Amino acid sequence: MSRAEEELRSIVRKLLERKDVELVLGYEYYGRSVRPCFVSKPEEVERLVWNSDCWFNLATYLRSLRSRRVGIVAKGCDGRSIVELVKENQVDRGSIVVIAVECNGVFKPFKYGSTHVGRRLADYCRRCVTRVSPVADYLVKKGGQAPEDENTVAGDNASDWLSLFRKCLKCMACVKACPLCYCTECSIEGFKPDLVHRLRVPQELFTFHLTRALHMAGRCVECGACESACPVEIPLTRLYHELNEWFRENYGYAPGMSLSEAPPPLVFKEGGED
Amino acid sequence: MSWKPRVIVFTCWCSSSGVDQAGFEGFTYPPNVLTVRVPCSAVINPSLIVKAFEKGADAVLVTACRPSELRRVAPSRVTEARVSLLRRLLRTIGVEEDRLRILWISSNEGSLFSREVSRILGEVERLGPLNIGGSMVEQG
Ligand code: SF4
Ligand code: SF4
Repeated sequence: MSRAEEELRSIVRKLLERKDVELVLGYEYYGRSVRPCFVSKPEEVERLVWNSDCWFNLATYLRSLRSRRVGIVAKGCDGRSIVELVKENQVDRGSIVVIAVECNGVFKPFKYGSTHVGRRLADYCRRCVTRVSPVADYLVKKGGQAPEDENTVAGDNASDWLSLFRKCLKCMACVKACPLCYCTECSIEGFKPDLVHRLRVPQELFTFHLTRALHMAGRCVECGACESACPVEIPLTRLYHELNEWFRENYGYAPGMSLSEAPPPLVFKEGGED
Repeated sequence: MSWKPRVIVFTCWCSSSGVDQAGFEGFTYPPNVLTVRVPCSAVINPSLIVKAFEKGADAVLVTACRPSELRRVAPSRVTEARVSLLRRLLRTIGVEEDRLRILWISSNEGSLFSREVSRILGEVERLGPLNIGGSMVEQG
């Protein structure tokens, strides 16, 4: 058990003993992999772990726990998605206790039939600019270097997006894993054949992916939850990163960096001549 | 050459009368240009543009009012931003971004419309067929 884990557990124990929060969202071991867990009793804190396999974005659960006081273990990107959720009025900052953990990057989760062998730092972590969450009530320092990269092959630089999209199963794992995909009426998930029909595969995969990209543009915090959840390993975050770049170039805006910064579509100003 | 590019034009209410004007004044534009009239260019859901590409359009054109002719907030500026974002997206996934254009057309600019459309059609012809729908379905 690392020092960071010890510190994390003592913070969570204190929070639960003082009844500051009803439950804490964290990570636990499940066999040899890590999965999200919900801790609500002080004696359960021994389950909590924190290491480079914790790729889940726990902020995804916050909306369904809206009426309760929850604590959440948050990496840098998870913290950014909490900021976005607060800005979009989906959760109340006052009812969330953010336990920020310093993150040095996570490994790509193992998948059967995957092309990569060995543990490899996720591609989106190579692009990461926020090691620590922008909002934090407690901070757990990890220290040390980025996790050991056992595979020296650089990021999978597939550029043929059309054939990548063709692999998609429309399983909606990316939508479900994303903390910011929360619309009750999703335009790409329905069974009404208007824009995208859930059962029409592989037709409409182009519309499916571009629509999701457009809906995430300027909102995606590049946490990589969608990419890691995808069973066929489509590097979705790289696509959304490009659109975020467009927002950075045109409006100087990056999603989830501060609570006071309004998203560009809200403060859209006309300007220039035709 | 038998292949002719299929171009979808989303026109706002005002610029659609510009397109009509082209007819009144005796200007022509090719028959493989299909216009879709919408109340305002800012209500065009970008997903519909994407869907048009998937359904076989080789190029999509959005015509909107000149921002300087609008009274208050310029919906055309919103459309412009969306088109620019969408062009970036198309470029990222390897589709030529010039297949999506925005044009400022006022209700009296029929000649401008027919001139611009012919020019763009020529460019798209050089780019060749897109066939996204087909390449998504084919096995490989
Ligand atoms: S789209 Fe993917 S990377 Fe972006 S916020 Fe959602 S899950 Fe995270
Ligand atoms: S998780 Fe992957 S396969 Fe499933 S719908 Fe998303 S992109 Fe497609």
